[in-house]
Amino acid sequence: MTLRATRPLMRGRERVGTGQKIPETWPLDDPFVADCLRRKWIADDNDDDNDGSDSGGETDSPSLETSVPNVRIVDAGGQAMRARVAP
Amino acid sequence: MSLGTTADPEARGWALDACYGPSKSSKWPDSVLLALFHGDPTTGGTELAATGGYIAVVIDNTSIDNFPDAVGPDWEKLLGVSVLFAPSTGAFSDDADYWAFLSPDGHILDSGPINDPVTGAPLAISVTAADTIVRFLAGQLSILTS
Repeated sequence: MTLRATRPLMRGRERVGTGQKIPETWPLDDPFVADCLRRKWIADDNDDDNDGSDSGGETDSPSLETSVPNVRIVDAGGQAMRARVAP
Repeated sequence: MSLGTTADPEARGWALDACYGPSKSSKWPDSVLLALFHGDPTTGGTELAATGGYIAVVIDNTSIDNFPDAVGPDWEKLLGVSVLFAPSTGAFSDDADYWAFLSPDGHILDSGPINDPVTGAPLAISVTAADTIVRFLAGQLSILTS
């Protein structure tokens, strides 16, 4: 699952003061994503056909709607511990 | 879940590879659900209800990107991609303090407590309003054999 710029004009736009440019796709673990979501610069390509839109693909991923104006992201982690039977 | 009596750490990693990712056994499902629970699923905890926009996330269990092979030194099996739950549309039914991988037909495959990825402290996720996204960043979910 990747995110893509919602509008071609936004691709390659520089993040002010950093020199970082918005790529066509980038992983969701980039903290820059949250900023971009709020600014509606990016959208989830829900149907996974990597065309930057939510239609036309074969399968649907969980929705990440860019209509959310002030999304709050809660990061979580966890570990499952499997018990090993003692010899 | 036990993995038998093997004491070899790498072999325990192989056993995990036989459950998740492209080397998985045919017995294990081709897709798994990442679900949020209130309470320990192994001792009566329950998955959050389908309210407030909560829905478990489907993950392809045949993908090397999603489940890279376990590697040393600990031979943990990591979820290799970030997973985001759908944005909430309202309050979730309860706090979420456990996660689980479920088979599509509802078997609990593995589960554990949710923690803060920065501090490692136990975390109870409270979603009380719309527009909240619960996110597990790549590498922040793992399965380990003791």
